[in-house]
Amino acid sequence: MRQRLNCSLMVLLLTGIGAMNCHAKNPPDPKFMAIQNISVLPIVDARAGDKKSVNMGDVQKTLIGLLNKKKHYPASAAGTSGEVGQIAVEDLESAVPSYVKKLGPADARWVMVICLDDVVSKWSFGSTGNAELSGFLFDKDSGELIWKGKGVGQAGQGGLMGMAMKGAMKGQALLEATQRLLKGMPDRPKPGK
Amino acid sequence: MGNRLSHHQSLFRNCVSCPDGFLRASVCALLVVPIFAMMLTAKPANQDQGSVDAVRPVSPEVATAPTRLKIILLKPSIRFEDVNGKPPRVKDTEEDYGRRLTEAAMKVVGPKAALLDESKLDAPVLQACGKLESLASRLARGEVNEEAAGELARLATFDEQYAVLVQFLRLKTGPWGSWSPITGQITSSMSSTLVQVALVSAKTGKVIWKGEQFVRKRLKPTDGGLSKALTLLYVDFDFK
Repeated sequence: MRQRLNCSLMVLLLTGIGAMNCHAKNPPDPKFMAIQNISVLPIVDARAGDKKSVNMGDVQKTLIGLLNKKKHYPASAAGTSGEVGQIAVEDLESAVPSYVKKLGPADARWVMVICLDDVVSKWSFGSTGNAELSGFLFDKDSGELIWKGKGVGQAGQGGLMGMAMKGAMKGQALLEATQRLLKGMPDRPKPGK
Repeated sequence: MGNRLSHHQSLFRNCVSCPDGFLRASVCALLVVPIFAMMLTAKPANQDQGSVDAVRPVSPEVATAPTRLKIILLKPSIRFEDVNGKPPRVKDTEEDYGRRLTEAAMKVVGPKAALLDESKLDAPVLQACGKLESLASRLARGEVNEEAAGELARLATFDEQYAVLVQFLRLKTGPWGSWSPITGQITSSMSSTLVQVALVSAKTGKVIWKGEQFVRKRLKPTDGGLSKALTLLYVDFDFK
């Protein structure tokens, strides 16, 4: 009886592992495999209320680093938002092909728009930091949205030591939000594999 | 001013009595005449300041309002969001929040301008208003895009004195604050309430006045916090 139970457990385990492997080996989406270079546009400041200074260039640089190293997408920073001028979140959420085609540099095909929705740090029984980002990836050739995601980051430390760390909380929260944002984007296999 | 005048007169007399008095008198006259001219044309300092304040726009894109505005109060746009992109869990309805916004707007705007009853407007005007309502989230923060400018221009063809008051409320829900007794890590809540209002002229398509209140807390329609935010929102409402 016990042997049969052990056998069933083993079968269950093996089936589980097999299923996980199958899932991991799912062929990647061809839309994402076709990407040759992602142009990351300047970060859109979509914050409400009091807008304290944030180094948007750093956020853009961090994101490009993560896209390259963790997600294996070739990515580069674009210096301009393109013909569209100032980007509004509403335009991204209901983007029409005519609008998408005007996004970013003229020679870029895949453009990523990142909106900084919120970032704050404050003192409480220590200090905390919150950050919120949303991202959109467009294919300008087809004029369609191929991916969108949200990432939130929370950082904080209690006590006197935490209070002294308030300055670093914004950065920590932003980094966490960027990592979480890209977590929702399909991975690409490492180059050469 | 009288003392200064007699001082100038005595100075002039002394100049004339000197040997080369004519030359000195001419110089004195040259000095005195502009001073008199300045005295006559100058206005009291406070009066000047007042007029500057009255015409000063809130921001470069904000314009002054034409007199006798007819304000159309658009239906408030309410949006519930979750920071993680999940369906937000809010017990109160959009109507509850909308009612609070409308009440606050009527209380403040009503005594200052002709607030029009939407039910008494003609069908083409209502149609233009409906399209503007769909653009409320960006209009309320003072951003007039091409589409909105077109609708505002259409509204102005019916009456140039029309202006729209656009209200937008975004209730964002998110994770609560936390504390880990083991690591000492703490986090703060990510919920927030944003209320934005803008008064936009139909004739010029420009923002006459705008206001914003952002509270890092999820406010319920019955909360005193929302009442306070709405009071603060309209605290500088004016369009003279």
